[in-house]
Amino acid sequence: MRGILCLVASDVRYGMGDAVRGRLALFAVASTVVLFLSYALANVMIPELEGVTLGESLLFVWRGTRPYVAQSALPFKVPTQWLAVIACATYVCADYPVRDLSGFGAQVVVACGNRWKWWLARCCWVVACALTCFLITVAVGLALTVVSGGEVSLSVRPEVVDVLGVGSHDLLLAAAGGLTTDGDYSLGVGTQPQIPVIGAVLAIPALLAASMMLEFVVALFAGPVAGFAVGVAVPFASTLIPAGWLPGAYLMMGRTSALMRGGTSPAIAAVVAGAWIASLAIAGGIAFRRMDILGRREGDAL
Amino acid sequence: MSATIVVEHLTKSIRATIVLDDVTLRVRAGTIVGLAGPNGSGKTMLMRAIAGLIRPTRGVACVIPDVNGALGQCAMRDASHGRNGAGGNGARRPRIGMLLEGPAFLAGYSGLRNLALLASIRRVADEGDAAAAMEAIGLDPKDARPYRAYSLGMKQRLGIAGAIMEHPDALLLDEPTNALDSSGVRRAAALIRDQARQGAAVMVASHDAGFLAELADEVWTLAEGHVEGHVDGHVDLHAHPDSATGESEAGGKTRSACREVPRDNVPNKAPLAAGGRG
Repeated sequence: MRGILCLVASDVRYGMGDAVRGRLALFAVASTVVLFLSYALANVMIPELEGVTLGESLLFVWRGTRPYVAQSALPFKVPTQWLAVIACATYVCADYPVRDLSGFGAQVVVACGNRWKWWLARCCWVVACALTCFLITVAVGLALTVVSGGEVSLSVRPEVVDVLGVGSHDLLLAAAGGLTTDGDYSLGVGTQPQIPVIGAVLAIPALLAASMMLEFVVALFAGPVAGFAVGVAVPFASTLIPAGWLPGAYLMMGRTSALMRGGTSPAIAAVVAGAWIASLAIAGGIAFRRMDILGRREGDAL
Repeated sequence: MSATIVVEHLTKSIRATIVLDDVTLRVRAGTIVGLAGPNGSGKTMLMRAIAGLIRPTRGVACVIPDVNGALGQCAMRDASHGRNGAGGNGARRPRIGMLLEGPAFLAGYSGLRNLALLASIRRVADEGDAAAAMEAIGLDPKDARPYRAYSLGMKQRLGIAGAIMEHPDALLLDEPTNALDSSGVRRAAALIRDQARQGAAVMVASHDAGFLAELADEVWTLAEGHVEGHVDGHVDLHAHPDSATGESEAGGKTRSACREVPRDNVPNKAPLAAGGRG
């Protein structure tokens, strides 16, 4: 047991520190750019906006897009900023486990005497990567909240949600206390944050971990490029397909029940994340036991 | 504990390519077996199969413990998954030390930290053993430079230190003399001999004919994944400089440097050497 704990600790420490430090930095830059672009947009749309809350900062990064309805006249809006953040998070752990397995990891596998220790240590590393990415967005969001003089709370104002193009208008109007002026979709400004989004925020790291676990498993068996492609494609598919079992559905704060009528529930998100992570860890581990571990040169040659 | 490396009718195909073809050999505890053969002949693959890193398509490759002079059962399914040995006779799982396809360590860690991490998995060796192994191969364990700053020769030495630090029951070394200077080669040879004297079953693949001649008790030659020849006893390969690659000066295959055992007569049940390892 102590052996595997050493391995996990080393994986987390080394894997975070040396192996993917540059990629985490890239993720931080991407998150910052997305955050400030959204903040600028919100400022243009709501000149009286002033400070933003931590919840709103996180919404800027993780908002996603409204559900696509084929019969509707509204065109599908590709959530480019959200996808960019997901792609950068996916890139963080795209190939490190695969590279490790054809080098030092092979020694670790032999030293372990069975493959489960290496596998479980890597699963922990992937989850740690997801948590780190999420915490980076929290840190960047917190910085914006402090700089803009906003409130450090996990609540959002209806008008901010509205200008970001997510959420249900009737829900937002109700939350805003019926502050309408001329049209149905005109929300009042200057109201205090009032929609709590704690559940939506907590769901993000869990589902991000599930999505990155999927990428890790695919990368190990089909290569890092395939892993990265699946890691981005599955969340993207969630924007188009209204399937509750897809992890991407819960990675969009704008689609949570707090902001959208019939939206995703944080409790279900936790169940879906747990199911994805557990099934990938078990099925991947069983398949990994039967996998041939080749060196770089042999792998290339064959 | 002593252990024997057992390879029986091992065939491995990967993506429709046969990389090992009905290979049968044994390495008894306390002996050093050399593997010769040209590039792509299957030497590294054979070692990978023994280490449990690749799964045999057919046959067996494993390290099995020798308990009270009796050979444990080679648990075929487990062996192919890295669970070498421990064939239901109560023996502990044999330890394997290996250096395959060049050394590979964590680039940001120092040499000693890398070895200490490896040692922490099995907890057979500690940091002191790792430092001793580094000193034995000519590295300074106090050298705080990260592995990425090591020269090629230093990396190779660290790989050898990592392979021997736990005094393994089976030692698999693939081209251990790569990038080593002459003093490094001498140290490596001495350490390998020392491991064999302590009872390890040692398999060394090398293109260095002189190194194999000096070191190996027997040499197996592989070609295109199958056993091409077997030379028993210490061999004067200096007299046949190309024999480690399986080719004589005349361009033919070396078959009889000392005592050739034809492929069909390869002994399947070699007697075990009495090992004194605990």
